[in-house]
Amino acid sequence: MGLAVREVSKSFGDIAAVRKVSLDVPPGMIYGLIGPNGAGKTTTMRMIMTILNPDRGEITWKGQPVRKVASRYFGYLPEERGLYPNMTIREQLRFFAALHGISGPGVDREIDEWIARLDLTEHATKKVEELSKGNAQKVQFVAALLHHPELLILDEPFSGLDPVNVRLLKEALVSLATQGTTILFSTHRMEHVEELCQRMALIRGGQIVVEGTVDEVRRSTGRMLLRLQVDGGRDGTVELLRSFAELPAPRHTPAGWEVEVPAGFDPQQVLRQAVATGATVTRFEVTPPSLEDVYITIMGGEAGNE
Amino acid sequence: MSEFKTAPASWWVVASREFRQLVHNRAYIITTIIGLLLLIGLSFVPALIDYLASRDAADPVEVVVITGPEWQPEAGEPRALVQELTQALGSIPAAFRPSWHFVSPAESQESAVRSLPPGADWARTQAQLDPLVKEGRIDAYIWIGKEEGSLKVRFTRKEVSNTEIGFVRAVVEPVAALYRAREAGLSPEQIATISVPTLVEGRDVSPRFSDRAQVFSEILTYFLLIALYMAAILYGNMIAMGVVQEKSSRVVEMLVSAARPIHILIGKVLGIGLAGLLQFGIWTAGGLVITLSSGQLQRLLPLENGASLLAAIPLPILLYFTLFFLLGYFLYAVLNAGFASMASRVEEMNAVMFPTITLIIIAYFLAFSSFTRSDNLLAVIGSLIPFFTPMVMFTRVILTPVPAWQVALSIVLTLLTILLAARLYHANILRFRRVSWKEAWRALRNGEKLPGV
Repeated sequence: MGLAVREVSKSFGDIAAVRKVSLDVPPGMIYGLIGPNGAGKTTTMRMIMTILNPDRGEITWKGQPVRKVASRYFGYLPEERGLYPNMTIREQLRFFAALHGISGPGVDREIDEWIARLDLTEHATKKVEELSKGNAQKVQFVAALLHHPELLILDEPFSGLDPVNVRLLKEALVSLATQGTTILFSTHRMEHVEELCQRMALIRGGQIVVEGTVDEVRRSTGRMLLRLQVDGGRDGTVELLRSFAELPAPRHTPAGWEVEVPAGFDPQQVLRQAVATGATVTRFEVTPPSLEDVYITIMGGEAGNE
Repeated sequence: MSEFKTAPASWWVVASREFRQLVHNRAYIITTIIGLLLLIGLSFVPALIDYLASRDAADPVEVVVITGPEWQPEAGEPRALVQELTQALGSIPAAFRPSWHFVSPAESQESAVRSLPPGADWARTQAQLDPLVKEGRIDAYIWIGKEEGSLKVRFTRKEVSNTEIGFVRAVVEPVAALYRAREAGLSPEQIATISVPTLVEGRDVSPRFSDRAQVFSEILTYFLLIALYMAAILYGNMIAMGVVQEKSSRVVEMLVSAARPIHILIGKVLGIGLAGLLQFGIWTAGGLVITLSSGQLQRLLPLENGASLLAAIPLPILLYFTLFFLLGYFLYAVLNAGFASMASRVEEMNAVMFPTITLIIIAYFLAFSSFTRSDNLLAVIGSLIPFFTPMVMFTRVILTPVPAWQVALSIVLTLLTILLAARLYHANILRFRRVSWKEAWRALRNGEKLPGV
């Protein structure tokens, strides 16, 4: 049993920020919380961290109320980045480790390891105010995990990082998860979720819309896509698809031609037809829509408001 | 795993960070050094005064005593008068006594003085001696004689101050009284009886402390007021600055994820307080070393050494001092933190600092006004208003008897105010924008904690 969020609600004045949210994050899993800004991701994470108290509902970690365990066993990277500008990286990291209740030469050694691992060695003696935003963000990430938290909560950990640093951070997350750390992070970039998460939840207007494995979420809309590519290029593929009156107009994507499969239509007919006409099929795929598609379908216009 | 140790409690971690940051701060180091230099400078002031005084003392003023007409019934014996005047001068406390030296005309170096006969009238004396005073050949002369039936005394110097006239009066009066007694025909025995000095004793019907304690209590009250005022303004400003910077840099959310806000607040106030204490300690130690080495303190208070200084302060005064200093420091520190938490950027600091600074200044002046009349209504009311309690109640308690319930009530009210200010801090540290007074009040009333951004 890992993190259990049960029917948690939180309002600020008249605004219901989170409504009856329930989540289960099994130990050792990387879990993604996806939603537009203002969907309630940060509020949910703050309640798990006990920075905020829920109005209703309860949150437990391994059966214990989070209030008792959060500061020692959880690590947190807030959405609003912040460190002490006039402390050096090492001082800063040592301070946050101690604040979480851990000190000693072991911490110093691990600080050096993380500094090397996240490519911060040349900045180790610098003050935070001299660092670039991305480097400061990596320092803050280390500050959140030096006390070996069992649960790591990261609010938009990849935002503002360049691709090299995104890669470093993803590798770090995967290795932490391999060692047994449970990780819950929020994002609105689907590729991060598809790459890292075993389970995820889509949150919107303070409520969970879909929850499950990445595959379950992709199938949750019931939509299926057919991707087809036959030799003879554009005309051949399009002509073939157009020969089925039930199919809507195909779209061209980097992966080939793509068309929405209507309910009751058997995509195998397309393959049989293609083979029958003697065309060489280089790609035939029946797949649920990408997470991004699902996200846009579910969030509708809201996603565009960010 | 022995490489990993359990760190101290979170408030202590915060406190030691604040302490280390502050004592490495350039402004802090400079303030400490300037304070110490100022103290060294000030320590030369008494020495300078001493030097000026000793220069005066090294130049004793020789006062020639001229007996005018009908002075001595036993036919003009100036030497007897010189003795009587010298004796009268001796009865003035040494600290205030002018360095006069009375001589008879016969003892003078100047022939024009020696040639003046006993019983010379004023016109002749003036004509003969004034030029000598003007030329500086004699310092001063005093003429005592009878004119138109009454006793007249004239003191002549290049420049005569009112203080000197006062001394002349003090010296002449007992001598004149003896003269009148003799004139009235009293026998020497009778004169001896009437000239027995009257014993005067001052009594206090509501005594608080012994005389020495009274000196201490007044010094300590001044010291507390000034120290508390400085600490509240100086360190209060640092606390407010720290709170706002943690908000504007957003590091506060990292802090609250690891420690409870109340622990962060306690750590902050404690760490900066300890750094302040260190600064005060350095100044006090420096001051003591300077004072002791120059022997000023022993002259001020008859003490054998510095260690007995503390022992000489009555315990209740010391306890009250500690209590009200701590209460005051925590009150103003937490108030500063609470109000500062309503700002989100350093630019908004002044607006949120204003209430605390105003309260501190009012408290300071209220305390000083109750110094002279520590039992008037204004002082009583002021001492019960928590914002003013540490300064005003301390002044009252030290200088007059205060009913115990008033002291207890004022302490309880102050503690409640500290709690309220701590809640204000708690309610506002995660609001990353300027919090209005209305919002702050609503949050306090509803007991809201950490509402979202």
